Amino acid sequence: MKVGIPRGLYFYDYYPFWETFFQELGVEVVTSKPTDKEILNLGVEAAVDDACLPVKVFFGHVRFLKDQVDYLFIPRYVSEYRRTYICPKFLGLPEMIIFRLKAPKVLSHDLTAYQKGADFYRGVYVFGKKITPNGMKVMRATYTAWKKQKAYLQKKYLGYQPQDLIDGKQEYVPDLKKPLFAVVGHAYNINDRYASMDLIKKIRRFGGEVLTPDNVPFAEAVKKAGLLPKKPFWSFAIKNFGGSIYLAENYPLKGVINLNSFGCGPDSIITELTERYLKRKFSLPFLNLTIDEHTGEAGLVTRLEAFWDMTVERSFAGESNLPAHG
Amino acid sequence: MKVTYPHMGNMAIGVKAMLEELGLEVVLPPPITKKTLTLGTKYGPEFACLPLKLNLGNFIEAYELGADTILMAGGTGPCRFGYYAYVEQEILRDLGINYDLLVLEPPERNIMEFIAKLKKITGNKSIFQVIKAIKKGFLKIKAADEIEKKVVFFRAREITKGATDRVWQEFLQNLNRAREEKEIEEAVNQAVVGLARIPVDLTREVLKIGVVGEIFTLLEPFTNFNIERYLGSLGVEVHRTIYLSEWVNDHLFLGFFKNYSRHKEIVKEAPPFLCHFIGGHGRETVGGVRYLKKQGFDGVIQLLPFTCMPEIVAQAVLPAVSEVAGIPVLSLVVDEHTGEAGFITRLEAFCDLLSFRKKGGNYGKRRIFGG
Ligand code: SF4
Ligand code: SF4
Repeated sequence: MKVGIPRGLYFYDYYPFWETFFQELGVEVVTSKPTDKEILNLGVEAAVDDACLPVKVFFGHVRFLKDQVDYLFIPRYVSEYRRTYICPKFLGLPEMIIFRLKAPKVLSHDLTAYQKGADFYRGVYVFGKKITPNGMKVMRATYTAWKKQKAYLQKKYLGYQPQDLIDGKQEYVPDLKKPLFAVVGHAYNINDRYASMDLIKKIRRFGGEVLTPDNVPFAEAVKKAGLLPKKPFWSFAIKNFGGSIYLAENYPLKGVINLNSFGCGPDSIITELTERYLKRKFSLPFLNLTIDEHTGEAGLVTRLEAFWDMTVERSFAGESNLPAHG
Repeated sequence: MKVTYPHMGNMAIGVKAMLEELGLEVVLPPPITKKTLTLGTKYGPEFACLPLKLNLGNFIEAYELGADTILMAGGTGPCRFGYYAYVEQEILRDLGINYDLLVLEPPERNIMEFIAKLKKITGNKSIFQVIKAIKKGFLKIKAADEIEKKVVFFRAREITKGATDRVWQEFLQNLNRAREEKEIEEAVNQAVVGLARIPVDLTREVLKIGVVGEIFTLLEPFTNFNIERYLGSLGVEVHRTIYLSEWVNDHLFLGFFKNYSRHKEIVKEAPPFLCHFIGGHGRETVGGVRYLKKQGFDGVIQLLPFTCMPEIVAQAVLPAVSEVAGIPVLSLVVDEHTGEAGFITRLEAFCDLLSFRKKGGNYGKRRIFGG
């Protein structure tokens, strides 16, 4: 059996887990190629006009992959942590794929930690039993996969980005002594080198280094999110808001770059709050980038250069009045 | 304390009755106009959904009238509404507009919690008074829904244009003024009699269109160019899958009045096209199409604000639902840039298609969808 995992949305969050899990169960895993023009076009063609960019990209990956595999693996990530959700679009993802893209061969299961964390893995177990009746085998596979995932998380806490660990040659070692920028946004945007126009690489090429909410343990982010009048009910909002506060407090950041996708619902709210709090608390320079399928690379480079000049070159020259650190 | 709250259709009438019964001073925002929208668009986040922007505009305008406290409902996600109040407060604060916030987070267990929360806000009122106030507010909303459902019948068939709306407007005024339960009943009776007197053409071929979608754009005529009245004038009977009193019963009272809302029946129709709740009214939208088909409707219109997450999910699967159910569906997205002319044109084209189909015409297998 050949199972396809589309390289979009929560791919960068859980790929090590699922790859191991399926391999342990003797299932061959295929992923789609990294996003490129073809994938994006496939997605834009099939998706609802007003859908956000990452959903369109995901559609593209599915269309690219669907005829090469026996099944597509599209779990319904309901909730990753207690009392949180992800996004309504994640909740309806399997149906959108099945009915919009006419791709009926979808392996899916509801995964939720809304009531308690262990339920998530109970879901994984039940799902595994659909593939093989051998419960012991599923259990072992889950455990091995979980260990893989844990190692992956540990690496991220050291400053590695998911794209460093999953895509390509995987030999990049982050250097946190360089001028640091927090890039805040969804992992599926930040790590998608095509959609984000290779933002991380670009900053690194300037001579800077990047930290993202992925580099912050969730428990820390939750603590910082306590600053808000109400705990956000989206886990990525906690990651992004709490994560950026954590990064600002713990690293000598030069600036914060917010990467939003066009038409993202939750971002409109959480970016608004993040920006207001960061400005009030740290007076850090802030750059807002919104990406969609029409974004031109030239414009992005210009804005990035200007931001770099403003935050790094000037402070090297010693004339900055922007405190680099809270 | 001068309490204000955002507009959403006829909601203001009910909430005002409730708060005043509790002895609170209410400062209503002026009715939503272009200016409200302009204010909201200017200060709200670009990709925020339309309701948030209009709320924001409401609050800015109400502040000028002296309001100092916002009353809003909350939520536990996954849709944005549950976080509205807090972002709005932050934005307003940075504009130098300082409001206190009273958020009624949805009760987790039962109606008693809702009562307890209200009691806390109002301080020294007895449980009895609180219940009485809630009941009064609810009765008004219920009365408005009841009459509105009748109004659409007459609007589509009236011989003198505008006759039905005169009765409707008068009823709303009476309802707003009513102090006692008895007066609410009187207003209802008067409206029923008033409607019955309207000369109607019962032979007219009337189309029945169901409107599904996001609650705010469904209930607030400003956002949908008063779609119900407009379609009514074309001789179309319009029903919604969401009525405010049903929503209140489901969400604030957690289904206290059994069998009052059709929520369960509608949601039952959603699978296999949508097998999980997705927040907002996404499931109602998807289920609504087949539900309306079974009720004998000719077509369905989905209304949604730009970037509305649950409705985009619904919109993605609606073509499949429409095909299987055999009923045309039109999706209309609204935001601050939506032009009335284009909106109306699409409505008219849709009605043409429906009446063509109804007369036995055949557009081949063609269906139309909006994007
Ligand atoms: S969180 Fe935003 S970007 Fe992600 S799926 Fe939802 S709307 Fe799209
Ligand atoms: S249902 Fe849609 S419009 Fe309403 S708050 Fe949620 S995202 Fe916004």
